[in-house]
Amino acid sequence: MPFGTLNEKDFFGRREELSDLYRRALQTEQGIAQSVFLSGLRGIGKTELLKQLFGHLFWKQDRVVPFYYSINNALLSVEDFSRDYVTRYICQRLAFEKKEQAFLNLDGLSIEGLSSIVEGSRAAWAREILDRYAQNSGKPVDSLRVAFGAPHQSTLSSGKPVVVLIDEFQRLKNLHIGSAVDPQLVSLFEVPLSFKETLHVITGNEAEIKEMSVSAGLARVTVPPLGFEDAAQQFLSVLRAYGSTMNAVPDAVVQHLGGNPFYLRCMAAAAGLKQNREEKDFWTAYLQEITNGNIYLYWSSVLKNFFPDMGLRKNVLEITYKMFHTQESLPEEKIAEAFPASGARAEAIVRALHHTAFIQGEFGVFRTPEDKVLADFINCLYMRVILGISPHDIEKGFLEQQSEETTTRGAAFEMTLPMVREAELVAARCLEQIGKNLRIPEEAVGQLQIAVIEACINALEHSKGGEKKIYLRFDVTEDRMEASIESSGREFVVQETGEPFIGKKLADDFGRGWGVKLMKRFTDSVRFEKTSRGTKVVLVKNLPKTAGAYKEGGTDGE
Amino acid sequence: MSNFSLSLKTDQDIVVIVPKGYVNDLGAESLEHASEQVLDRGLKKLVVNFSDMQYINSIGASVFIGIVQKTIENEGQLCFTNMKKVHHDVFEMLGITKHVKVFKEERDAVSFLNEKA
Repeated sequence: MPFGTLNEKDFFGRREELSDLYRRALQTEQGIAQSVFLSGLRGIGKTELLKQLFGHLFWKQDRVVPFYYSINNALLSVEDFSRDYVTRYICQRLAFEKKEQAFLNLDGLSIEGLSSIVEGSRAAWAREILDRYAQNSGKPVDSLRVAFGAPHQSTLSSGKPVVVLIDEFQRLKNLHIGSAVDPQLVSLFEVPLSFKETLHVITGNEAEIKEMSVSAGLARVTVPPLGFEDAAQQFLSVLRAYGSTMNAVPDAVVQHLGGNPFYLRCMAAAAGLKQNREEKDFWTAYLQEITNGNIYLYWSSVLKNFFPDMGLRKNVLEITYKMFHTQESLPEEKIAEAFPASGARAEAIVRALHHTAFIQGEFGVFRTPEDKVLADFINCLYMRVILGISPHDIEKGFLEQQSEETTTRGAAFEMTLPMVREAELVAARCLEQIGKNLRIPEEAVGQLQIAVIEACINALEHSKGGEKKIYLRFDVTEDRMEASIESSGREFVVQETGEPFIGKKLADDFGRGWGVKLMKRFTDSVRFEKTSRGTKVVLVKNLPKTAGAYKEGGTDGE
Repeated sequence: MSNFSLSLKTDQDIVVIVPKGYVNDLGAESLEHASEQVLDRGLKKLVVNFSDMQYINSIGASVFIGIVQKTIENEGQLCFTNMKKVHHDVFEMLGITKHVKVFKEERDAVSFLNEKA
C-alpha cells in the first residue's frame, strides 16, 4: 500500500465508510460528483481512510484516477505549493496508468526532471499541464490556479475523471506570496471543488475547515468512532504485532479509549511492550501514555502549537479542566473570561482553543468532547502543572480511582438499529429483557421504555440524509440505568436552548410535541449532545435503593 | 407485519375495544376509526381494555384525545380498564384521564355502564 498505509487486514471497522467513498469516487465517471468534507474527531482515522481509499482506487479499478495529497506546512509559499501539487499529481497519475508504485515516491523531483519523464511518455494531458504551468511562471496566483485545476484539466484532455484526496486541508489558509500570508488564496479552490467530473474529498482539522468558506457547499461524511468489537480487534492486532498471545483485552480499557484508532494503537503498543496481562497493568500503561507517552506527546504538541505562550497554556488547562468536570456548555464570552484578554484578542484565543479540539461546538456555544482520554490528559496535566501534585501521587490517585470503578462497574449493552419503521420497538423489548435479567423493578423499566421509544422516534425523524442507523447503549449500575440513543441527526438540537428541534411540519402533526415531555416526565435526567456521529440523547433513570434492584448475572430462580 | 391488532366485543349496548401490541400512529388510527364507527352506529358506551397493550408512544397516546372528544360530542361514555401504571401516567400527563372513567378491571367498567341509563 502506498503512503505508509496500513495493511488491509489491520484496518478495522471502516468497511461502510470506505465503500461509501469508493462508490462516490466511481460515480465521478457519470459527471455527478459532489465534493466531500470528511469530518471526525482528532485521531479517529480520517487520514488512514483517505489513504485506504487511494489504495483501493489505485489497485482495484482503472475507471477513475486517484490523487492523494497531504498539505505540507513547509511548502506553503504559493510557488512551492503549486510546483509540488502539479508534480505530485502528474507523478501519481503516471503511476496509476502504469500501475507502477515507484512513481508515487519521486520526492524532490524538479519540473525539469518531470518534463523529461513526461516527454518519454505518451501523456498528452501531462504535457498540457506542464505547458500551462510554464506559461504562468512568475505569476503566483495564476500558477496556483493552474495547480488547483490540474486534475480537472487532465480530465478534459483525456476524458478520464479524477478523484482528488486532500489531507490537512486547513493548512491552505496559510498559503503565502513572499512572506505575506493570504487566507483568501484558498478561495481559488472553490472552482475545482464545484467540478462535477472531478471529485474532491478533503479532510483535516474539522474546526478550522468548517470556518473556511470553501467548505460550505461540500457534502459531509462523518467518520464515527469504531464500535466495541472493531476497537477490540484493532487493539489485539497491535498487541500481537508486539508478540503478545493475548486473546482478549479488558472491556473497560477498550471502552475507555472511545473507539479512537489513534488511542487504541498507542495504548496497545504501550501494553504490548510491557506484555501486560492484568487489567491493573493496562491502566498503569494507560496512565504512562497520557502523562508521558505518545498520547501525551500528541496532545501536548497540539496545545503548544496553538498556545506557544506558557501563561495562556495554563489558562487553557484551567478552563478546560473546569469544563470537563462540570460538563457544562459555555458561551464564547464566558470561556473568554478565563483569559487575560478582551475583544478580538479574546475571540481569537477561544477560536484557537476550538481548533485544538479541546472544546467543540457551534454558534458560539462550546462544550468538551466525549473523549475520556483527552479528559484524563487534561486532568493529569492540570494536577501536575496547576496544582503541583507529584507524578507519584497522580499515579496513586488514578489507580485507586480505577480500582474503585472496577469494583462498582455495572453492565453495558450496545446495539445498532437500522432506521426502519418501528425500530424503536426492538430497543424497548431489549430494555425489557435487560430489566428481567438484572432484576430491575418493572415500573422503572417501563418508564425508561417510554422515554427510549420517544428518543428513537426522534432519531428516525431527524436523520434524513444521514447515516441510516441508531446506536443505542444501555448502562446499568446499582443505582441507575442510563440509555443513550445516538444518530446522525444534524438539526435535532436548538443551540440556544439545548432542546430538541421540532420542525414545523412535525409540530403541526397532532401530538408530536409530546415526545420530549414524555422523556422528561419518565426519567430523572435528559441530556441532548452533539457528537461526532450527529446527536445523542442521554436518558438517566435512577433506581430505587431496594434489594435485588441490580444483580449482574442474576437470573430467575437463583 | 404490524405489531398492533385490535379486537372488539359487544355486551348488550356496551362495546369493549381491546388494543393489542404497540399503539403508535397506525395503531391509534385504527382505534380512532373503530371508535368512530361504534359511535356512528349510535352505540355510546365504550370501554377500552388495555390489558394486551404492551407499548404506546406519544402519537398513539395523543390520538386518544380525539377519541375522547368524539365520545363527548356524541354524549357517550368512555371507560379505560386494565391499565399499567406507566400507561396511566402517560394518559394523565396528556390530560385524558380527566375525561374518562378508569377502572381496574373490564367487568367493573361494564357494571358501571350497565347501571347507567
